[in-house]
Amino acid sequence: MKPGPLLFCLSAVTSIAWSLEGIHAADLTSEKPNVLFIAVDDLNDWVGYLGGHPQARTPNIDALAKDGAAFVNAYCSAPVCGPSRTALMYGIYPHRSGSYGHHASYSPVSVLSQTQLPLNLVFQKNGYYSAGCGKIFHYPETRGWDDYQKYTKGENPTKTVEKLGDNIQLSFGIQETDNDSDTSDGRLTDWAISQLKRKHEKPFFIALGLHKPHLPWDAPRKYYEQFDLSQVKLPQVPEDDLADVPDAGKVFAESMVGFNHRNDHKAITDLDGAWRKLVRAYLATSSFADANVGRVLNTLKDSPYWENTIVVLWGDHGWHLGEKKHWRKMTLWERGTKTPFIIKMPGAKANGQRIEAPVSLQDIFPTLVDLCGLDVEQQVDGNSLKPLLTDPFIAWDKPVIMSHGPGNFAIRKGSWRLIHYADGSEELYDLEKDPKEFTNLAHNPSRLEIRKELQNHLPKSWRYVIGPRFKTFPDSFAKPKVPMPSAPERFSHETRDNSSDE
Amino acid sequence: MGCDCLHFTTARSTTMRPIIQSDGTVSATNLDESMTVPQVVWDNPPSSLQRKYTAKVPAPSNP
Repeated sequence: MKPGPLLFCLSAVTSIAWSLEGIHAADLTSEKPNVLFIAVDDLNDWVGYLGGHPQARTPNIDALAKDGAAFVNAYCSAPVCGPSRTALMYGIYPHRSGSYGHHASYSPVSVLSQTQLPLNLVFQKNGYYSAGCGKIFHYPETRGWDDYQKYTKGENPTKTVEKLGDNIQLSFGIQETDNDSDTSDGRLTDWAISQLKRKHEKPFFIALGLHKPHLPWDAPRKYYEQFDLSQVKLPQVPEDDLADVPDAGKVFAESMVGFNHRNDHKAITDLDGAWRKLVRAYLATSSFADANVGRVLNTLKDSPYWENTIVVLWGDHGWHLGEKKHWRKMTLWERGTKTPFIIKMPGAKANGQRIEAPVSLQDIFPTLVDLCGLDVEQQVDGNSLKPLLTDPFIAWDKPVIMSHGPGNFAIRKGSWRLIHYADGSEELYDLEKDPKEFTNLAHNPSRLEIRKELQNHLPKSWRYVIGPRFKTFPDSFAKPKVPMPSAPERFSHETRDNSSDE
Repeated sequence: MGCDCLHFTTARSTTMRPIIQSDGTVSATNLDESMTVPQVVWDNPPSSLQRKYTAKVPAPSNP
């Protein structure tokens, strides 16, 4: 993609400012588009343009959604950071790689061949300048970066922490600063901004991995003060919401499979006011993340690169704040799997459109390969979304596949969600009529046809890999009836303590 | 940091270029499970892996 007339007009306007950085439109000789890649950790659909919570304040992400193609039904491949990011960044479904959770046995070095390259390395091998900062991968990946900033230097501001009792392991802190750059995520954003202000001889792939709204919910005070605690609205959670959920679903709801968090919801609802404080903390921290997104986007807009840069924004999975009486992630419901996902491609017909068709974060790898004309020689799962970006009104009924541990899957297609647990039990929801998944239709005779259709999309086989943390939930997983070759000998003992990096 | 050579086998995908169709579908790429990678070289494994799986060099035998 060569710079168009608009780019030169834009450059004329901004040339004075940018000449200070030594950048001129004439320097933009790359034919391939640049990519600004923004990952937001643990951000569910509580953003303005998705409407997951009526009080969400994310004006910058919402503005990007208006500028680009807003995928309003986008889902992770796995509802937890490690496998979701491994799937996205290496281009392979969790059930095909065996990367299901947080443990060395699920890391790319354990489950993937070296021929399965990460996305940033694919860009680099195709002549791109590749730079990243913050949390892009869950497991360390040093290949494929020309420059990478993992940690941020400097002290974080003091924070006011309110403890919510011994049984509630969700924490938040109000940071006493007016300057976002005093914070870790703020400094990561500054670093990404500095990358965008550089003179680039080659097309670039610049990745910013924001850590918030991941726990602990620390954010500068001004973000908390946007929300009047007394007016914060809680999610709707019927008392009998789990009554029609099979036992396997209840296990997922009542625990964090693979972690030692149980009965969060009871502890939170038992303590007066705790739920409301936690919802406010998540809203505030999400708003803080949005502000950092805004700063880096504004830098890009003011740069000569705006008209030749594809922007991709994604969250790695959803997050429960009480829905289904569950907290955190690791479920196959909408709240656990739905996430923001926006692509702004210069000149795309889909820009400014809300795309309702369900899509997967698994589609990011092939989409960028397609859009950027990358030469890649490895397994690539998912679909390219280029057809949707060039014509947002085409029919698109490709099923979205999600998994959590061996044999547990969810399928999203049309307005439907099928959840199939390893023990064979299922849930079926009509999201057009029941977006909060209150009524399980799996045993409704009139829905047998759609249930069977969705069942046809369930993977017939999968890798059976059980990490140490999953061993306490053996009944929650299943070996495939159509066996894949047995997993090679993998790490069978604890090699890494991930208790704090869920 | 020197390269650690981690010895284990893992599945390997067949080496092929995926073809992206005009409808966005990626041509199927099958795993070749029978192939193994005899030695995986990882430039910077997690520190815990480094400690656990640092390549063991046989001690020189005394003459």
